[in-house]
Amino acid sequence: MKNESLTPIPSPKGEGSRMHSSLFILHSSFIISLVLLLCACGANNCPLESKVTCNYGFYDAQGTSVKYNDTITVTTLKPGMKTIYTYRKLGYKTVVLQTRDSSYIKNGYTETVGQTRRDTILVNNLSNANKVKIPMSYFSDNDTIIFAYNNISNRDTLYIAHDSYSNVELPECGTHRFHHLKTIRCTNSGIDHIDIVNPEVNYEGNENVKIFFMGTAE
Amino acid sequence: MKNEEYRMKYESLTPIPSTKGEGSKMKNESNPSHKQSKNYSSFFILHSSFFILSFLCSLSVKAQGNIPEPELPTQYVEIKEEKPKIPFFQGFTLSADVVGVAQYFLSDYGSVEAALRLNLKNTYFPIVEIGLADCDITDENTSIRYKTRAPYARVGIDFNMLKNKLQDNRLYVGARYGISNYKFDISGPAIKDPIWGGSEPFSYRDISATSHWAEAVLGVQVKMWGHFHMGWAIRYRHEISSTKNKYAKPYYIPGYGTTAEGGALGITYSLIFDLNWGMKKVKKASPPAPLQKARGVE
Repeated sequence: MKNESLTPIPSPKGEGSRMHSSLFILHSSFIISLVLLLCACGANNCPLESKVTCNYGFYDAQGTSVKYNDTITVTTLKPGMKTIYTYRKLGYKTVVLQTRDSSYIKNGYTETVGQTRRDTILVNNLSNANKVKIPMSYFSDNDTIIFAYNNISNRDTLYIAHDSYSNVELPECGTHRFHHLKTIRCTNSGIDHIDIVNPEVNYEGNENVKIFFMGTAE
Repeated sequence: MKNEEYRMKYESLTPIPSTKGEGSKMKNESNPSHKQSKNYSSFFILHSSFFILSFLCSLSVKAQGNIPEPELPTQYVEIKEEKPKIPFFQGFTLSADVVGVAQYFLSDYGSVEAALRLNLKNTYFPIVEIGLADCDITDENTSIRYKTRAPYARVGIDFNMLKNKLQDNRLYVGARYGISNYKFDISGPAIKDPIWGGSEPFSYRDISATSHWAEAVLGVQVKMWGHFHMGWAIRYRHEISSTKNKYAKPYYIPGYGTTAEGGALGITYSLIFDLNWGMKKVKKASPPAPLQKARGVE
């Protein structure tokens, strides 16, 4: 009854037909909006760069970004040792295998079982580059990275202390392992010094470490 | 001519009928008889005498019209439309959202939500929305599970955009501020290091977070019957801030929805009940005031 007083313009139609037309307008507009809304959904929001790496930039001793002329191979020490099988025969090339092969013994080879470091090549023969992306260990707090040069006989070893943690941006994008750099130090065969510029290692692609090589760019 | 233009210009004004013209117009519209006669002379006499008489009559009428009579100014009375005065407080409405409930049964997340809205002058509608949201979603490809259940609240105001504020249907725009304090669990398959080796389970429970967001609302509301209304609204949501956690970003914020792109748009379909307690009746508009008659005009 109170609502009637709020309706100054009497409708010529009946209450039922007015309700039906209201329902039609309401529902048709709702369905149109719903369709438009569903069309707006469905985008993939996962990061384009899905691999998490620590990004190193190459600089000369005075801080100028340079392309390093020498060829660099980056390896890392994995924890623990691995078993190797060495087969030797006088006058023949020594064979080193990670699994036992008895056929060598039948052919007169002598087998020696030993333990060795579990080095792994991370970047092979990088040349004329001004940066390098190197992965980090997920569960170890300290990484040891070795830079081997073609033109420099000695190697450089980088010791990196870091924290690692898992991160999920969106369930559809999967799990990533992010890292926080704590300290970094290195030997000085080809490297002058090294600095952390951004300790957060994630998939955003920012430069994390600056490597200053000995010498100055011309 | 000026009077006519004045009449045309102000349609709401009621012209007073003129005394001139009608009578003479009627008199000039008389037609001669069409009886045929074989005798042309008698036909000529008949017609010529008719025209002469008609001419004399018109002269006499014209002579009477030239009698000077006082020029009476025509008075026009403006009809003042009395706008009904709408009392400031027009009552409450209580509403419930249907979309959130449907989502709960049809998808991996949903909510139950009720709102209490004030009606101020049928124009401004301050509103408080309170709900409880639930989300338990596992991605098919990554097998990562996200789970949360928490209350949320929004406050805001709607503005009725229709010109006629008194009708039962409404088209409104509005704004909301939303907040939710919640905890979520996230878990997935164990993580394996592809180079150095080793694995670790991925499971974090009760990660606390607080989110704030803003919403822009565009909606319609129509009267169904009695005190029952229905309406829907599109909401554009913008996350203002959320507590940062290094392990996971909140995937579903109670009251906000998913944080993936496209989740910023939402829709609600409300069942609305008028609670007219405290509402004052609106006085109907009084009929137009009687016209003042011009002097000398009956």
